[in-house]
Amino acid sequence: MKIRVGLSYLLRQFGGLTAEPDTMEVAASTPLECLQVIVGRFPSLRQWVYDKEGSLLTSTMFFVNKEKLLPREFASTLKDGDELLIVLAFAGG
Amino acid sequence: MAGFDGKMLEVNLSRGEIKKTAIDKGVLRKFIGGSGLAAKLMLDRIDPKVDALSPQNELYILCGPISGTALPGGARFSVCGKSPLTNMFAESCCGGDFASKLRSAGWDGIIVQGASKKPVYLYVEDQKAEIKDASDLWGKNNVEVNRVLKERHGGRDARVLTIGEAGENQARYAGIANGRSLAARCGMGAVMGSKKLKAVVVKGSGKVPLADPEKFAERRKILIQKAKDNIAAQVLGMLGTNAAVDVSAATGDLPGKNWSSGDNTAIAAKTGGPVLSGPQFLAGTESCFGCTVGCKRISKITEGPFAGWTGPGPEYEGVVAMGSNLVIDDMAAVIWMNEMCNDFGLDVISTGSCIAMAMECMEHGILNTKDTGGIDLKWGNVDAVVKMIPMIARREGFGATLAEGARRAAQKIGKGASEYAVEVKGLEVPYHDPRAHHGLALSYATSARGACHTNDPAYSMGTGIFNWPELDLLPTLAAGVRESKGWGPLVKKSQDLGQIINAGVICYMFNLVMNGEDLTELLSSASGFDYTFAELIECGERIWHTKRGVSNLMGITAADDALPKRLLTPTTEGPAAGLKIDLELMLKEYYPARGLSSDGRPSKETLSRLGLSDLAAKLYR
Ligand code: SF4
Repeated sequence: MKIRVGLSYLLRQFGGLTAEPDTMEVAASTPLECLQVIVGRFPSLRQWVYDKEGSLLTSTMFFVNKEKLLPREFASTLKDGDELLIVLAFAGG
Repeated sequence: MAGFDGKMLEVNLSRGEIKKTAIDKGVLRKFIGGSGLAAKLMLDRIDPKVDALSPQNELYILCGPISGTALPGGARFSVCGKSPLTNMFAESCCGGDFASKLRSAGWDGIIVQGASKKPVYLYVEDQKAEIKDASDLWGKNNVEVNRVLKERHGGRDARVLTIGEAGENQARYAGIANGRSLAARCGMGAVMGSKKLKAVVVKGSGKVPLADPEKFAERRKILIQKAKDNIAAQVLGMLGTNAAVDVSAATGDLPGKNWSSGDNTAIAAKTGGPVLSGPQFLAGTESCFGCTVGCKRISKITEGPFAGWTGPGPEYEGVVAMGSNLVIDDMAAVIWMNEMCNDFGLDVISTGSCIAMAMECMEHGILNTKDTGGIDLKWGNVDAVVKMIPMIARREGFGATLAEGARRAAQKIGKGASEYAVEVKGLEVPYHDPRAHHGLALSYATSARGACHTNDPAYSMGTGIFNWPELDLLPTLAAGVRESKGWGPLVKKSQDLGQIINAGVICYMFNLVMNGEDLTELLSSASGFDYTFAELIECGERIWHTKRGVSNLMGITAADDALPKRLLTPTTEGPAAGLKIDLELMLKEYYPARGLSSDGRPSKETLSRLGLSDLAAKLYR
């Protein structure tokens, strides 16, 4: 299954991916798997989405077709053509 | 015990008298300091019926046990009094470098009473204090007055609080500046202006007292490491608070076009953290005194009509106030207009909100250029905003209407303008959209000072990066931000914690890296009171109810726990499209948890449990 995945500006900036295209196509079936594939492709992202033990940071958020996912939905199956956005949550100002 | 002793400098400007007083230790323990202590002082000392801009109102410039210490996030102090904007209890917090000098001069706060006949400033050097003539400074703005007074009183050693023209002219949302930082909210600069107090200069040669310096240093070390390891603190250091623009746009938290647009990603891309901290605009970074995070930007403008300027860059709130909410995507203009607000001494949140309301009135034909003195307040018009800011600060022409704040200005404009005034209890709403964070909606409706995202951490809770297991305030709460159910008891707990932080006084960003043990150890070792976390939470509760009770005495009732119609109407596009806040349900769950009676006053049982019999006697006479 092909999913179009976007990374938020912060993730692209911190992962050193600003020169990469805004979105990329990933063959995976859940948001968590998509993230794994992308981190495999760009290891510089790892520290911004996983902790030292490899667990997902609570600041990592997923949106599917602009809908924010609940943590229990992170492993749910995506549909062909879904658009996934991965965001580094942050609160400031 | 040499900790936080509550040593106050009491200045009566009507009589030209200065005296030294000390706060009772029992009061300090129960109200901690900062805005907590201010609530108690207001209860005891101010007639609730006074006009906020009359000599009978008092201005409290207060430190807490943490203020001015070398703890990262410990630079802050509070400015409090009755607000001319909301007519109720008001607090405004400021970073910068003033608190460290005030405390090293041997003072924990300044109480200003009365009003001078001519412009004056207060000069404090250790235990000496003097009221000096400020006639030559009147009419000047913050940057210039700060420069002149530093030059006059010993350069870097002198720490200065100032008001600009907005404060002098009593614009109801004028703030007080400490260099680049502003105690911006609630109009405390107007109160200072009403007293003809142009500035306060402090020089101190002592040390900031700590009851247990070793224990404090140990905890400080732990926190510095935690901040280093914390993703949010790292982001703050790299991109400043404006990093939130990017995330806010994705979650539906970023308002646009006076809160009518739900999809603001295009403007976010041009005004977000990476742009402000990118090579085009970043000249450097700065920190408040003692902070290792360095979230402050120094910005530069190299092209266009504002080219050639370098200075303090905007925070998230300033970027949205002057950016997406006015449909402006020109980063250089946003930086410049933010600086104008700071220099004139206007709260950028309220200024942006009042101008956005006027722009919407213009769009709907409620206002025209005849009303505004020829200024075409249409969406995105930078030139119009640049003209409007000084007019507000000087109360010139249509600026005099907007200087009254969104609520009063809308009432004056009439013809349905109130529909476009986005405020709670008279305080313009900060730029985090509660339709995307229902817990924040309840927090806005019930905060101790009107709509506020820093009176408690409900906003951080909604983003999923807040983790205080001691209070069961966990990152997983973010899962419920799209629903109204269940927030009542959580917001109550969040408010109790917020009161402690603001009484401390501790930078809000640091509740993201602390836990209950850190907070308890810090406040105990700094103050000398052997607090437990449970006792602190009770202090938080007591402080919240005292602030609320003071506001009740000033006229606030349950009917004021409301949100503007704009925020109760879902957006039609963007990530929060269709989400409707059920405020009625939230208030129903919140009131019993909060210990409020149905008319909005703290219940008699709550007051008795918290030892607030003095407040009970005034509320239930
Ligand atoms: S995090 Fe930023 S605002 Fe807070 S104390 Fe540090 S520099 Fe100041």
